[in-house]
Formats: sequence, structure tokens, C-alpha cells
Amino acid sequence: MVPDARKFKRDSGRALQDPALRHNLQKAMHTIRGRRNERFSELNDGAALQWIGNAIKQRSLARLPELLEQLEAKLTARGVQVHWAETTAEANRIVLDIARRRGVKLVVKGKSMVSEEMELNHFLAGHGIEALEADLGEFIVQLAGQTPSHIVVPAVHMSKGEIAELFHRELGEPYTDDVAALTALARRVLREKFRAAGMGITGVNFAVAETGTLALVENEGNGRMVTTVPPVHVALMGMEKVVANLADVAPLMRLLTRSATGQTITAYFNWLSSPRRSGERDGPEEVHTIILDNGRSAIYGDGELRETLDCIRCGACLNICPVYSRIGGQAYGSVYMGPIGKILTPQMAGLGEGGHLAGASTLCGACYEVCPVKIPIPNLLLRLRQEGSQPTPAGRTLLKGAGAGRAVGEAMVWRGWRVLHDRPAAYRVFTRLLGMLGARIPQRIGPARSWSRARALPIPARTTLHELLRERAGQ
Amino acid sequence: MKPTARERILTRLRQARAVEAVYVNPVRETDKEWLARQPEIGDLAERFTREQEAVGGDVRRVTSWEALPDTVLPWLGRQGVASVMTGTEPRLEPLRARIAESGRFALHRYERSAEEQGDEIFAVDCGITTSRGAIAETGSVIVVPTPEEPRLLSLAPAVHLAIVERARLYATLSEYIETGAYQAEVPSNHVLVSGASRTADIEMTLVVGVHGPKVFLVALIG
Ligand code: SF4
Repeated sequence: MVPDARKFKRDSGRALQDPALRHNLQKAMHTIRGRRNERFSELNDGAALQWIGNAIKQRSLARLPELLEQLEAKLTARGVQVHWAETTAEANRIVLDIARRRGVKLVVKGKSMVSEEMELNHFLAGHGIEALEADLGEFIVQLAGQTPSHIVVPAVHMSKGEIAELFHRELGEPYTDDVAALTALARRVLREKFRAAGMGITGVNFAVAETGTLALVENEGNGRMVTTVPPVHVALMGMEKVVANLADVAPLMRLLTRSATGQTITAYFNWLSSPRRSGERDGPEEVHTIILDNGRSAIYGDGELRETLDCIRCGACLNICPVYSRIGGQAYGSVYMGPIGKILTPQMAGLGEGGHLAGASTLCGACYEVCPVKIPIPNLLLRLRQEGSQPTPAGRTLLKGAGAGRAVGEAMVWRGWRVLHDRPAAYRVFTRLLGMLGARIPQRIGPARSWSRARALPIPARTTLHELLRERAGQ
Repeated sequence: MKPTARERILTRLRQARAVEAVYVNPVRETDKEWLARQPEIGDLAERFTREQEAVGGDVRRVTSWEALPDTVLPWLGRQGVASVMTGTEPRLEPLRARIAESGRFALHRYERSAEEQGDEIFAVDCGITTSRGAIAETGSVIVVPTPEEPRLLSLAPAVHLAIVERARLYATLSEYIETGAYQAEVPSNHVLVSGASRTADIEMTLVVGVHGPKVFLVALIG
């Protein structure tokens, strides 16, 4: 998915005008925020726990190359095949090669944002392999021919009525908008698919270097099915998912589920370490792990932006974001949406294509407050904005597409602003002029236009504050 | 020879790491210290039961392994279970004998591969497994599939009954991890099960029973 500034402007505008979407989102965001807050308020000093989470991620990232090697060694020793992919194209190719070798026609998938980065379903379809989403939300979105609008609740933008219509139309079942009946329907459809599939694909929530463990967090049991029933399991992981010790996982898990869904723990916390061993009666014969870079090593090379890699994909920043909770996920036109999308996408896609997303923020800082690993999202947004519109200062790593968002008009405005504020005389003349024009400043042309389209233009006062104060002093 | 993707990635990461972090987290509190500041877990069995019940689980206290059948048989009857499956775990043999004796349930055994027994496993109503204990704070049962009790036994049937020994209750996940039991063994699969499978993917409405069991029962022994 290539982000596009013009499309973003259009789609976010449309989303704002869509009362059904606004309603669905508002309701869901309200619920999920409430649950998250409830869980945090039960803790004595949840804020301190967030900093512990941050410290764990920093410590892990500081040893990233060693930990990845250790993870690889441990997994390999137990018969898991480890692959490295620099790009999503490489990762797709690796999946395809495995599938071809095993004669796979049908793939069942657990939730994986990395597979969205790879646009894996689309890629496999192009090679005659069907990839079916097994997480209920992902299943819905796939049936609708869409992409997830949220990293934790993929179909959060849809109402049960819309989903009922969709199931009726696509699955040919009698119409029902009973949520339990819709869920039962998905269970029935997918049960057969788990058994028919030649390969199961999942993401990875945490990878533990010390033990060579892949940990999956889920509620539905689809992750367990996908990693148990098909003869091959492929786990896709972003390289930042690795932590040193199993003990690191406990606080991160405590933060993840509380932040993501407001649960103290999910129904299943599934740790995997090898294919079926001799004597075991089930489990996959082959397990593969693909460690994906896709721009992460470049992010790692910047001492400030590196913190982007702390993210544990909980979605809390989406839920709290005044922009996300109004326009929803699809308007962003990128794999990752909301605050995390606004810092991740410009770095992955480059500032040329994704830089505009860094601008889609009020910088209110709510995301930083809720982020379980304390990623300073507003600071990173400012940094990306700056580099999007200015040549990168010397001595700094050059970001892909730096300066691409530089607009001549905007640059001129700021230059003018500097001239006025540098020279008191010019400043006085300018403010006097504005005061005289007052309400006669044209609203529909020039720089005032985009501002006044949705709001009233402020009318400059006839007398400036300086003049008022002088008058007062004179009296 | 051209460097592999692996070599290129690792080289890049090593070079990249040399760049100093702009922000260094000054926090020195350890997770253990933080945990010590948390509200008391209280009696482990009580807390475990409360947490399980909060997610719709059903916990029954049983005095001993010997007393297990007297609790389990009527319990399964009330769940509308018609067929029951266990693995080859020896501690469950007395229970199996009583189930067979009662003649109330079709009794199955998971003793061959999933490829051979798949249809049977997916058709059975209830799977019964032992466990490695449980975590009180979150009401999580530690299920470790083995050749005696394979993975699907706790996953495919609509009802999963897990047996937990009270002596093996841990206050928190951290405490359990600290015992080093997992690290010493690293089983191929290890699952913390906290209630029945569920989803809230449609309008944040909770529905219990998606791809895994719809009912989760725990017999707490001791
Ligand atoms: S940036 Fe923070 S709040 Fe947002 S998804 Fe990542 S971990 Fe969660």
C-alpha cells in the first residue's frame, strides 16, 4: 500500500462526512479506552510500569544483532528453520518457495501486521495460493475486500448490520445480525479450513532469545489452530520483536493486553519452540521463522527515531488519538494507522510518500501518555515534519525522501514571518495594516483560503496589544 | 561470494548500533520491585477462582485425585457433554475407568497421530487434560501439551476440562517464570489458558467460543 498525500486528504475528508463511520468508531473507541483505563487504574503506579516496559525495549534493542543471532541459534537447534528477509519482496518469495515445495494450495492465517506489510495475501493469490484470514476481524475485512482499519480490532469501522449484510451476501447464509450467530458462522466456516490448509501463517508478539521461544497473544484460538493443525507453520516477525529473557516478557505482556483490549491477560498466551517432536501426536512437521527488516535497520540507525522500534503494537495510541478516532484507519491509506502509523509509515515508505502523515496530528500528546512503552510520538512527529520540509542538517542521517515535502509557498510564508519578527519597524507597519483591513481581509483567496474553508478567519483587532499597553501607560 | 540477506542485515545493525541513543531511560526500578508495590494477591486459590469466574470460567474445588470422578461426572452431565476424550496420562486412568463404568459418555482416547484421529478429535465434545499449575493473578492455567496429552486435546473439543493441583499455584506470571521450569525444559508448545476462546471483534461485543473451546472448566485439587 503506497501512501498518497492527496488521497489521504480526500479520504479523511470523506470519513469525517460519514455519520455511520463516525458512530461506529466513537462507540468502539469509547469502550476500548474505558477498559484500558480501568485496567491501569487497578495498578499501583501503572506509569512506572510503562517506564519499565520502555527500559526493557531499550535494553533489548541495544543488543539487537546479538539477540537475533542467539534466537536463530536456539530455534535452529530445535529444528525451526530461520530465514532473513531484507525486503517484503524477499519475505514473500521465501513463503512462496516453502508453499511450492510442500504443494500448498490453501493457507490459513492468524493476525499478523507484518503480513500486511508484505501484502502477502495478494502476492500468494497471484501465484494461485489462497490465503484465508482466521482471526474474526481479519476474516470480515478480507470478505469485504478491505484492509484492516485498526491493528488490534481490524473491523472496528463496521457495524454489526454491515457485517451481517456482508456474511449474507458472501457466505450465502440466511441473514442474521446477532453477533453470537455471526461468530458461530465464522467458526463453522473456518474449522474446515484449518484442517484443509497446507500451511499456517502467524505473526510473533515476542521472540525470546534465551530460550528460542516464539510467543503469540490471542483470544480466539485461531492462532493455536493455525500453529497446530496444518503441517507447516510460518511465523513472520519484525526484527524488533526479540527480547533477551523470558522474564522480560512478563511485564511487556502485562502492558500489552491491558493497553490493547483492557484485559489482564488474553485467553491464550501461546509459546512455541519447535516442530512436532518424535513421539508427539500433533503440531506442524515444519516450522519456519522469517525475520523481516523492511526498513527497520535504517530506523535503528537513528538515535532518536530508533524508539519507533519499541512499539509492541497494542493500538492504544489509535484509540486515544483525536484524529484516528474521527477518521478511522482506512483513510490513512497505509498499513499502520493512527499515531504509530504517522511515525512508522514516513520512515518505512520515505518522507516523499509518507511524510504528509506526520502532519496529520494535533500534537496533543495523548498517544505518548498511553503508550505502554513510552514512545515519544509527538517529538518524533516534529522531527519527521521538520525533515520532511527542510534539507537535513549536516551530521544527521539522511532520511529517505528528506525535504520532499518542502512547499515553496509555505517556505516563503515562513521567510516573511522571520523578516517581520526580525525588524520592529516592519512588524509595526504590518500589524497596523492588518488592523486597518480587519474584516476586509479576503477569506476566499490567498493564504486564508484553506483555513477559512472550515472555520471563520480571526479578524485582526483595530488596535494592537502594544498600542493598548502604551495607551494604558500614558493614562 | 555475495553476502546473504542475513549477513547484510546483521552488518547494518552492528553499524547502526554505533549511533548513540538520543534518550537514555533513567528508570532503575526493576519489575520485581514494581510488583512488590502492587496490591496483595491474597489466597492463591481464592484469587485464581475469582479471576477465572470473571472471564466466565467455572472452577470446582476437589479434595484429592481420588475424589475427582465424583465431581467431574455430574459436572460433565450438566454441560450436556455426550463424548469425552483424554490422552494417555496415567493420573487420569481412574477417572477414565469411572467414566466407562457410568456408561453415560462415549469415551475416546487420543493415542495415535492427529492425522489418524483427526475426525474423532474434532467431533468429540470434551477434552480433559492435566496441567503444570496455574497463575493466580490472571487466572491462567499452564497447559503443556505432551505425547500423553497432545495440543488438540485442549483446543478442538467444545469443552475443555483442565485439572490443576493447588500446590502448583503461582502468584504471578513473573513468579512462575522465575522458577525456571520452562527455561529448563522448553517444551515444543506451552500455553497459558485463561478462560474459553472468545472475541470482541464485532462492535466490541463479547462472544465466547470462537475457534477454541466454548466452555473452560477447572478442577482444582487440594
Ligand atoms: S506506539 Fe505505543 S501505544 Fe501505539 S501501538 Fe505502539 S506500543 Fe501501542
